[in-house]
Amino acid sequence: MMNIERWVTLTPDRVNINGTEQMAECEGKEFLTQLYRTYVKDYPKFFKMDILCRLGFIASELLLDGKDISGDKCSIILFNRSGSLANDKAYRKTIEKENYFPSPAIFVYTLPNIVTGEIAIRNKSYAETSFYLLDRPDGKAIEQIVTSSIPPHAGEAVCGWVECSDEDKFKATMFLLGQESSTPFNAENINKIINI
Amino acid sequence: MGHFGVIKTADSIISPLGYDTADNVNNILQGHSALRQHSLWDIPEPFMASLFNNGEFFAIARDRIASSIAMTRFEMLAILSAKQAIEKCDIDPASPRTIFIISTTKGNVELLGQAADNIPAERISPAASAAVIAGYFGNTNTPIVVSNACTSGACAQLLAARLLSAGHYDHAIVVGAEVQSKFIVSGFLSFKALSPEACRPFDKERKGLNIGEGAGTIIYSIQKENETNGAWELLNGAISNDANHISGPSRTGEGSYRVLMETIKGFDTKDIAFINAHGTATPYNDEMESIAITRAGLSEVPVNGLKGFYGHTMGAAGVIETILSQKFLERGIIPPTKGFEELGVSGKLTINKNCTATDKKAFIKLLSGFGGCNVALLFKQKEVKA
Amino acid sequence: MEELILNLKKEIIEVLNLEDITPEDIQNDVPLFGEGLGLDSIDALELIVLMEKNYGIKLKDPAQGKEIFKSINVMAEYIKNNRTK
Repeated sequence: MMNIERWVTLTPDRVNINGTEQMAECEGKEFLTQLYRTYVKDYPKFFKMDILCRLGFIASELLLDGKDISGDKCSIILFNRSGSLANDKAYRKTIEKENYFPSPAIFVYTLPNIVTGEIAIRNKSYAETSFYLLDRPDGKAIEQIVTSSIPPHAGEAVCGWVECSDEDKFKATMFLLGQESSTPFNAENINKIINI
Repeated sequence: MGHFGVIKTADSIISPLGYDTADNVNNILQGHSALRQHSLWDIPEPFMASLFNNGEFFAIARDRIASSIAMTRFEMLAILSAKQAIEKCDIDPASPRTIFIISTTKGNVELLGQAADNIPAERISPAASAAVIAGYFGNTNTPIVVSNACTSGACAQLLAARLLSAGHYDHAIVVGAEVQSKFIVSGFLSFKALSPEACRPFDKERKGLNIGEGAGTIIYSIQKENETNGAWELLNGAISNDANHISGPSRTGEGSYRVLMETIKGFDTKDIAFINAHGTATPYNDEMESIAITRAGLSEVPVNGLKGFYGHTMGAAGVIETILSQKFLERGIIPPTKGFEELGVSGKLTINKNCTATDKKAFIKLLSGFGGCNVALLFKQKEVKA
Repeated sequence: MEELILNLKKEIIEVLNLEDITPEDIQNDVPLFGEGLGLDSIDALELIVLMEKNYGIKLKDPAQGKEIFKSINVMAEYIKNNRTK
């Protein structure tokens, strides 16, 4: 049985960590950059990432807050509805008939699971990374998939909903699971926090 | 005994090589490949690919699918395959105890920028598309789309085993499907990853991959006590990240090595007939797999790759290649590696070039993909009792 | 040549999203890959697109890039001699 140790929600105008809310001074994509400059600072790869990866990356940095999840014990399992749609649109613009210069740096982000890879690389995690698409943030489906995927020896996991259909329209809710807290990781609590 | 306790109940392959599993197996046995050169979609250069003949495809889809709502090519393909598998067994696809798991990398992406009049814009999301597919069969559970790049087809099977094993469902219908478009082909061209000729997995002269269309379906069910008659069991599986690079395969084969080690834990590797590798025929992928397999101490186990027949069918590859591996082993054959002539990787692999006889009943399916993800699955056919 | 070098640096910074780096930070004779600017394989592919889009130079074999993208000096020299636009 896993419990929710810590959680983060991140939208274009605010961030909430375990119930402590902080309003943004700027909106949307700029807000993510501001959070990067305040809390991360030294990972220039951030600027190469597409919007979904920036969102997931910043949420994971705030969630982990320096916690070491290297090795193979902490699965990273994320969900959303739109896949990599925001970046797919950007890539589509590079292959117009009249202006056909397909961009490899944009194409590589046309897969939503790249965000799980970026988080694994940042944290040197060899554990499982998985990305699933659901029609809506369904707490029951998320609970079933995550709990049945975590190996018995694993002590912790990072999971959550990371949705971004457009550069300035996004929402991330990320959970750090462990054994310590008394908030069970179940459909009811998942839905409650996702809907904050 | 596997720790999941799940078996394959039925399968289906729909590909340019045939509109059911048996046709596909026969074509491969005869050495046929669906790879052809195409000039399409205003892409300024020709490319090799395994694509459906659209006239034939739509005729068959119209004949086999009766639907009141408009569907895309991707949705029709997934439904054709799922329907065929469902008709081969007696499970109820509409039951609340049945879950649909869809594996695709790009689903309806061809709608981007050229929306179809009769298809709602939201269907650009594979999740919305999956709802149409599951809805066709009257299933009301939220379908799950696995989006782990090129490993999706094997990851989807692992998820099915986990969900059944945890008791959440009795049956899982795993559908891997991919159609091709300008979007995907142009991207791989920009990556300089496409071979101008038919791909040559693990060969010295390999120049890259070819892409392909196709769908595969496997229906998984919880194994019942008395059901032991020749069924395929998914014994074990694992997913691991390289933690190295978002597109470049790990130079040490880290994730691939780890999933192999995890998957063979407690299993006598002498019983493994072959490893059905990813074998995309890009210089780096095949090299990486050779390192991972060697590191895992599996150099002696024959390795084969099926991309020379279909190219890389992406979200469908893990499902289609699993089914073919099973069908070949049922006939006591290690599948061939079309396009392979001379070993061109640093790991000491035993590449199985032509059909080879075997009496072993287990194999490993191995895949890797963008995002640094790797997956391995271990399958074994249960004894056939008279 | 100096104008070409300055433009090239600006273009590289833009297409490779080298935030916080200015043209002055990129030395003309320092390797772009590895220790220098720390570019990777995707950056190399993106530079191939840049060559074609901005200068009309088509590199058939990506391996050519290894030589051409050695440094800003080498790259600019190659562009000067081969550009079609």
